[in-house]
Amino acid sequence: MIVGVGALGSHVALFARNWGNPLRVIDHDRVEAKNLAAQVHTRMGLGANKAVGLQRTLQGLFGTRVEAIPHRLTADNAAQLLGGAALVLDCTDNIEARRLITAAVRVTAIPCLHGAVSADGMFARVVWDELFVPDAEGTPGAATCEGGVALPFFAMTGAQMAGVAQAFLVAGARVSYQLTPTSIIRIG
Amino acid sequence: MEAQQNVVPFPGVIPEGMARLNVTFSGSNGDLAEPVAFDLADVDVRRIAAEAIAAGSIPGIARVMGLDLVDFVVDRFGPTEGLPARLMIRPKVPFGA
Repeated sequence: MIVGVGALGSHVALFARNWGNPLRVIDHDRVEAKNLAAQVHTRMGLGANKAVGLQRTLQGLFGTRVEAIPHRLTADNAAQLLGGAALVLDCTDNIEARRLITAAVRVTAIPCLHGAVSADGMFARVVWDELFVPDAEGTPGAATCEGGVALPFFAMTGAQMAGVAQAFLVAGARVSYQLTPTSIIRIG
Repeated sequence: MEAQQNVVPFPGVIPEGMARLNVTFSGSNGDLAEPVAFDLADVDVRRIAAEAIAAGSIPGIARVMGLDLVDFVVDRFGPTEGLPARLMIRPKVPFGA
């Protein structure tokens, strides 16, 4: 299950498209024109919910089975929406959502891998929940990296996150990393 | 010069109670040449890292003067299989979606 399918989560989904089981993706946001430069969303999806748009894209291009959940994660629905997942991939963009996810997976003992990117789009962490502490924004409400400059790094981070998740699903490995555009370092 | 009181000769095995200090700044990443005390306060880790960047002494990170790294996060990892104790100072990572 991927929570948040914007710049990072949509790339994770792209690289997780051959996992076999239906991917479940959650996002309440809508696809805007500014998203097209750095996210796996297309002009055909403009105005659509991001989870639904990504579902159509992956099914249309690759035949990937995707279950789209077009809802905002809240304290009231987090346990229900995340429940039953074999693995939660947290690709959200705010500390409130991350706290909800962290609380829910810790209660239910669902494995959770967090992906997070710095405001300048030049640093990222792919971290298992046991090592994860959510960071607040430096300036609340600051714009995320919406231009296309960080696209290669989002793709790189998404690929790394999908690879780490796949290693867990196949062999139970839980390895965490931090990344820059020129380095990938194991941190745990 | 307080920073120098916290370092010991390196390379070699990192002594107990010491850690490798890894710095991520402006999309680049590198280790300090000398280990530091694992229990350094965050403020001291920020100061040591800023001094090292100002001195241009971290391989892979360009020299920049006058940083305070006040918004940076200090992570601490004890020794694990194949990895020594590490302090890692890095930018915040609030974004994803």
